[in-house]
Amino acid sequence: MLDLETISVAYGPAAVVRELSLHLNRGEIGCLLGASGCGKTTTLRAIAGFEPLQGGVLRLDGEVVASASVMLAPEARRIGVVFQDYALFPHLTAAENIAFGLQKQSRAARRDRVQEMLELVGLETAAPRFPHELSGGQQQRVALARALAPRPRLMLMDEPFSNLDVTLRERLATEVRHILKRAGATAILVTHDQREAFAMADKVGVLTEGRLCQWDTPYALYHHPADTYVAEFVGEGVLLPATLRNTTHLHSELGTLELAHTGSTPRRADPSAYRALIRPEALLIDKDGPIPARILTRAFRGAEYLYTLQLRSGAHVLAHAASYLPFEEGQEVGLRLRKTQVCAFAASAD
Amino acid sequence: MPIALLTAIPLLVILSYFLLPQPEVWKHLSEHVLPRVIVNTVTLLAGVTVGVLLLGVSLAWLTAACEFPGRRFFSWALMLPLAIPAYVLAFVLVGILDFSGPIQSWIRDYYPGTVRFPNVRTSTWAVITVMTLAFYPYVYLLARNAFRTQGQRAMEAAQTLGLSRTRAFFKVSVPMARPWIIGGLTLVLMETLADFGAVAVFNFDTFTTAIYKSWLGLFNLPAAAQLASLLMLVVLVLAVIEQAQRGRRRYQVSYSASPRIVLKGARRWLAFCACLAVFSIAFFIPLLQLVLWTLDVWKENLDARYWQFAWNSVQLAAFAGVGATVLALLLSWAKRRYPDTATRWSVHLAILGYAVPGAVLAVGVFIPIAWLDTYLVPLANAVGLSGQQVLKGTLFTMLAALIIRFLAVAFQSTDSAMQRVTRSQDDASRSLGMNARQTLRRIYIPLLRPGLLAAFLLVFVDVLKEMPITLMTRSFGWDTLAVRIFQLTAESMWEEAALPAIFIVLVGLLPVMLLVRSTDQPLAHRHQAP
Repeated sequence: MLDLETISVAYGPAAVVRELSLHLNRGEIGCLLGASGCGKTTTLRAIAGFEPLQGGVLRLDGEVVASASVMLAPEARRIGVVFQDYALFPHLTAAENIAFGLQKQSRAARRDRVQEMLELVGLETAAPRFPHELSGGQQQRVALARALAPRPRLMLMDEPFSNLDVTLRERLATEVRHILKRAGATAILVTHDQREAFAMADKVGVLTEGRLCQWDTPYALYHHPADTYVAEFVGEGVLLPATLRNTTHLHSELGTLELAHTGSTPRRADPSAYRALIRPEALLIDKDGPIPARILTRAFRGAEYLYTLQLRSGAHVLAHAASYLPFEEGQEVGLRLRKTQVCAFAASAD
Repeated sequence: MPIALLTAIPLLVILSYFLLPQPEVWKHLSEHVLPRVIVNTVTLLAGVTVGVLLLGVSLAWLTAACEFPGRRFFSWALMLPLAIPAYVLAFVLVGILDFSGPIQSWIRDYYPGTVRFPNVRTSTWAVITVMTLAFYPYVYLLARNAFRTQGQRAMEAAQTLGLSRTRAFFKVSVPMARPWIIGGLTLVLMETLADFGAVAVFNFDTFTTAIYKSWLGLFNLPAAAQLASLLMLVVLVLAVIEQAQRGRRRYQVSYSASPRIVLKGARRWLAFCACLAVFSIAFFIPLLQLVLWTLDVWKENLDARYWQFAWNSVQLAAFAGVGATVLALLLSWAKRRYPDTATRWSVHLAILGYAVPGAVLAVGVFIPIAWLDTYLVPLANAVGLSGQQVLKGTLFTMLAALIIRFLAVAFQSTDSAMQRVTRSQDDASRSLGMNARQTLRRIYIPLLRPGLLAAFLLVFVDVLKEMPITLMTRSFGWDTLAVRIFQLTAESMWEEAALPAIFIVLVGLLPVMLLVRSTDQPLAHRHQAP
């Protein structure tokens, strides 16, 4: 029900969002993922109505809400927003904050809805307290309840967990997803944290420099990245040089690889200039392994070590291994390919 | 921006007198008035600079960095002299040390013929001392803030690099505090140049008294204006320096205060005595003397006339307070809604009045209004109203000058209150369905209320204490408490002057207490942190 058709947003002469298109169905939760300055917050603000569009069309439920010539005011769009700093009104209690957008309703209806919202987010006892008396997590839930109370068509959340402790984040991400699904809300959130994005969203879009690289499920982003940026941004892995043998196989230092997926291919691809995505889980460290390698560094991750290894050619690869059987830095080991199906990206021959 | 025009017009008018001088007037001035006035002003500025730096910085260091008996009390008590206007301090100290005052009488009674007291009223040192005591709190306050919050991390870094705490203080904290100290100093110098009542008590001729005399005695408007223009130039230089220093202040949020240098032995008591001496002479003793004099005279003098003066003062202060607060609110709103360079400059210009001496503003407001009257009077007469003046000499002129002068004070409050409403709160309100007007009503007004109240209060007190503008622009016979003090001190009637003075000092204690309380909080922004 949310349609962005090649929207562009600019601050003065600088284009911040370039021809971004995506579609979100009712009840879905989407996420815009990217580093700082990639244009994700600007896109969110444009959807909410705080920034005008320089080009493209924004539709909600088929109705044109914004375009280069049309701009519906934020208060008329019925879009709920949860801000990064929560923006709770300090002079109102939690209950009054939640009731803020319900002015058109009768007092009884308002009271009932506020109660409903408080129960939804689990803050029944916090109703008479002021924002400064609440913890960060509680404030965030009040902000969420406040935005959900007027039954908006769409929910927007700007880096909702960035102000909270890291340990809380993943748990809260699943809780908030649960709340949104129970309320039947359609939502888009914006974040730079991959784990948050994967925990919360049905569809994730990777942005860089105002451009949307891929809009897909988290699984697809991880296993079938559309270009090298997404491949390197999402998860861990290296891009190893490879040569295309025929339409289905590549040859690389790790042996023969099956071409499972490729990103956008240029018109005349150079067969010897392919790059294959090798993620750590694809390699097994095995003393009998056919591929010789040397361990350069290791990083302790709790359950496992992440090893950086150097192949004979000097190229680096990453591999996991359980941490109770550690290898030492500088040790010569063997590598075996666990998974021969890979993504590879072509480079232009021109 | 129209509000900026309000301030700009008088300033430009005054400056025009400098740019388009009238030779005969200048000749007269340069022969009879300027030499003495310039020498006096320069001496005064030099003396006050030295005095205020010595006193303000050293006291700030003692209370900020050291530990000695009474430190906690003196930390805030040393700011109290701000409640006593300079002209009150002047006449009280003169009264105490005067021939018929308590000290000389006591000496004469017990040790006749031993000590020949200098005549305090004609002593330049006395003027410098009084001004220093009246204005050192500006430097004290700013320097103390700087020492307490700036350079904490840098100090600790310096200590890890081998400097002792004292050396680190002088090599790190003091230089980092320089913008604050210089900022405080320029404020002091502006106040010194603007002062009228205190120098009048000592018959010490400076620009302000010369302007007043031209204005009143000779009704020589051009002479007054030309003197004012000279003063304006100096003031503008100071204002530029002060603004530049403001820009150089870097605010660090410090989470912990580094341990204090504990003074030992003779030094502890030296510090204690120094603080006690300054506190007593600048605040406690004058206050005590005022109370004693008031007790002597209140029975005869607390009559209907006195209450009329008080009422006039309160009325004027209230109107000016409301006017300044409303304009300041509009300025803050404009600054927020239109964050472009043109608006920023207009706002800067509009609040420039704080740097301009009252006497100069009085002249600068009067001239355009008198000019306006030349058009309005025939109009009024044509409509049937008689009289020679429509705007001249009415409350309107006074209010205009006062609002221009104190707009900056109100603006500081409204601006910081406005900034506490974050942009995302504004956006949140819009996303919940409120349009701009509803957002104003339901979000801005409630959150701005304390700031607006503070703005009103601060302007109220400042107008209550104000003397030159009131003196020069009031209609004949309409006196305020400050005017009354001037008239009485001109006749050396110290005790009678104590009655209106005590009222002003007690009211003046309110904002000082507010100031003391707000600066004692840690300087980290106490926002509702997410």
